[in-house]
Amino acid sequence: MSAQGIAIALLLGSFLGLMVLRVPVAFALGMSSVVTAFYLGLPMLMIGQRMVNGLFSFTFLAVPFFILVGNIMTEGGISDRLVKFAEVLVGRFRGGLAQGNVVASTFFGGISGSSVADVASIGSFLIPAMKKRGYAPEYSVAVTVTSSVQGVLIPPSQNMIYYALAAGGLPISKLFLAGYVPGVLLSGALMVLCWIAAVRHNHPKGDVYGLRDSLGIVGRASIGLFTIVIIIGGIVGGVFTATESAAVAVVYALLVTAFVYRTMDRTKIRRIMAGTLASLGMVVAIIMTSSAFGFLLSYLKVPTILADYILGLSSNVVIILLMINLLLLILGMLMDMGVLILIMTPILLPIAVKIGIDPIHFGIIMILNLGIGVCTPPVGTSLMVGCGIGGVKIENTVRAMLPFYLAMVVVLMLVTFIPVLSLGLAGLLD
Amino acid sequence: MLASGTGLASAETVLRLAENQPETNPVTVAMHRFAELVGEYTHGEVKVDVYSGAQLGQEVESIEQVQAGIIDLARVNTVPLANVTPAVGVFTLPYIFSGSEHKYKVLDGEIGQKVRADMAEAGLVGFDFMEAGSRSFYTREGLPISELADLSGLKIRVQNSPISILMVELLGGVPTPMNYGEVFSALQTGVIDGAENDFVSFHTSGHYEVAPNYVIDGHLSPPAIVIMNKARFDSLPEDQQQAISKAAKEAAIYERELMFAANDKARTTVEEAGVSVVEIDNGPFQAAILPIYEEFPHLGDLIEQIRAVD
Amino acid sequence: MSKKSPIIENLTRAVDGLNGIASWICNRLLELIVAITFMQVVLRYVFNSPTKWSEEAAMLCLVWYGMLATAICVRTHHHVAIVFFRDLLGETGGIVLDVFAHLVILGFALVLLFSGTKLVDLAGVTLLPASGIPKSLLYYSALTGGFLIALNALTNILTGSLRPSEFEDTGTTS
Ligand code: NA
Ligand code: NA
Repeated sequence: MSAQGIAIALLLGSFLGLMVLRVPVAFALGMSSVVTAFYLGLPMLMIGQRMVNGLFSFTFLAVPFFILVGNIMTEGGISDRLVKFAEVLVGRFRGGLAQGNVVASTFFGGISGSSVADVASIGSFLIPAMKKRGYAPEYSVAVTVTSSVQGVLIPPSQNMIYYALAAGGLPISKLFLAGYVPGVLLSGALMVLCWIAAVRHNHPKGDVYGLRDSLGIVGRASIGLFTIVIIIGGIVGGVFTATESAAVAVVYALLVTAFVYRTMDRTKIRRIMAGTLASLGMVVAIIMTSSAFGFLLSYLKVPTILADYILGLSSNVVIILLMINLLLLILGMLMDMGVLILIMTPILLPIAVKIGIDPIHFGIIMILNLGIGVCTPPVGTSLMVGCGIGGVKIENTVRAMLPFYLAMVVVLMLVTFIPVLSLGLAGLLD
Repeated sequence: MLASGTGLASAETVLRLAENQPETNPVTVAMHRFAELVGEYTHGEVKVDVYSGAQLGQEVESIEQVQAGIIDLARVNTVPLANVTPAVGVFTLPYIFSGSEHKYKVLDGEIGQKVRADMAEAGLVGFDFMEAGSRSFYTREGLPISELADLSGLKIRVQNSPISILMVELLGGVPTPMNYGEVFSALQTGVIDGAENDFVSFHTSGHYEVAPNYVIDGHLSPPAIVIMNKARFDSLPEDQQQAISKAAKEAAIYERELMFAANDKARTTVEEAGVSVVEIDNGPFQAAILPIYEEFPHLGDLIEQIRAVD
Repeated sequence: MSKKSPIIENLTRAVDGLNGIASWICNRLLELIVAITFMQVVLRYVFNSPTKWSEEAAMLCLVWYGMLATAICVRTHHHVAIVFFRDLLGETGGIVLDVFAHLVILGFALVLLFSGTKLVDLAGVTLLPASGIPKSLLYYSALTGGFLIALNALTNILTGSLRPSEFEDTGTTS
């Protein structure tokens, strides 16, 4: 084996080995990077350099805000009111809260553009709420994590901007429009799945309220719901950037719970800070060490080698598309989405164009594909965050997610082989 | 169209080069040419591996990685480079060059040599300067700029550098540093009124769709450069050092041609898409930013020397 | 562990005091990140004059928060891990894996610490471009984080506090 081959085997092998041997994911990523850097004779300061700079990025600044808003909403009772509100909307159906979760993600995901932030924010109040209503914790996490994938498809999405840039200049407005139908399609598929699960496992209906009660619930919830309006309206209306709107939402949620609901006190604030520290510390550690790990994957040209291998196998369009999907799924399980878009777009897009795929369409395929990777082990950040919030084991959750993975792959196949789903709306711009 | 060799290095020496632009960008094309030429001139003894699309990190990090010997080479802009090797900052000042002819007379001449020699102190070797476009302002619908006064009070997105920020302040605008990826939606929604970049980035970023007024004032024209870890360079035999320098020089000249052509093409494309492109006399702009030069007393001599080149 | 020696007890108290200070700093940093970003919005809309330094300062706070929080989560077992095989192994085997995992964390932390010292040297007197904050301040976080992670891993081993978290007390569950 060549030196490069040994290094790749060392990096991937030690990572998987350490992880199986109960080393926390963040440190398995870190230590496998250390071992490989040592083998390659790279200066060790590379480890700290990548960790610090991987986090020293404006993109991640929104993550703590969303976790914080979620915790404030939960502790301050906004989430309780929100759950009631969701029940007024879909409570009459069996499994209403799971449906509400999917619907909420469809809206919320459009805000954050990041599925991790989505899981952190929605998950922080809906996972506990679902558990309280008697859903299995693993199922609650699975619904939340899966439905967060819409977040990267429904605009605004930071990852689509990365793609447009890496593709050498695509109209971003078109790319944005192209994401809507696949996003809503995914949302629909998940709702069907939730309905089936609800019937099979006899999931609870919510309480059904009369008109007067419903209005009261809507009224009480609306002050808290305005937190969401700030985020959506702030960005869509052009008042704030995504990060700023989340910071404003933090301040607003604090003020509402302290002075309107009068549910905030010192003890709760202390709990909010402690909860944020636990979830954020875990997320941020993975973001940091996966940047060191990702550097070495790139350095060893792992993505390129995989692409070459797949294209050496066939010249049939359908087979190549399937193989590209498979390749992206595998890489998405191992690496961060934004990094992969930047690395893989220049490698895969020319191939896709050569076999007649529209670059906008290919972008949507790629983003949905990598979005699925974010909720699969071993490096599925959304999955990790969801499991952290839900207090459940990854391996149990993965079992609960199997039907959802299937649904996502079905939607992925539809999006891959029916271009008009992506290009229909985008075509209106021509 | 696959990226260069994934196979094993049969050459004795492999040099890794970080490039933050994607494969399709002219500068990346030029870096592949550089790699080709190095292979040719060293008879395959030295192989340059180009890592495009910022896969090894952003520019600031790449500079640090070259200094630390994590990687060997990087193609970077002089703006972030000025943080570690101050003299090169002189080329990043607004309106420092009076046109591209003057620019390359300075960069290829004695002044360019002196500035490059200065990089040794930061543990770097700098090769020939390359074209990185000339930045001008562009604004949203309804906010065209035909004179200096039109900039007054406009929120202009700038790169997060003190020079850019101060420059927009002096021109009467409100400098708004912002992550590049956010600029499109910020323009679309009116969070900012305008931004500034060269024609190529103006086109590839899609900003022309939401900011259809472009005014050519050419305020900033900082060159790009290939840097190398000095200890690594010095460790190579004399003939390989010369081969690398020669390849870098030829690649730089090739890159300039590509960039100018790409710039013209991008300009035509955005004009056809309905963007109004205005050329104005930037005299009042130049006068307004003069206080910036006083902020850099250590560059005073260099500024005078550049002004003296005609 | 049955009875702990007074040395271990004092060590535990000292380390947890240190973690308490680190948590306190983290919470202030988080408040600062919110305050800086919120202030930026107010300055832009009310006074039409956004600051140059706010984004970099907030990002710097986030990095420090990240390093300290990573360390604290080692002590409190909040880092996510796959415990499937550990649970298969039974009592003794499980403890062996727990100790192994902590040794890996310890080893990694020492590399991070070393890496941090080198980075501080490399940054030298370089400043962050927009805010003028010394870049070394960014890299001191790696040094500090490495130190505290190492200390916490060591303390967990010495005090037998090794069990992976079941995420029972994150504060995010109700
Ligand atoms: Na989105
Ligand atoms: Na959800």
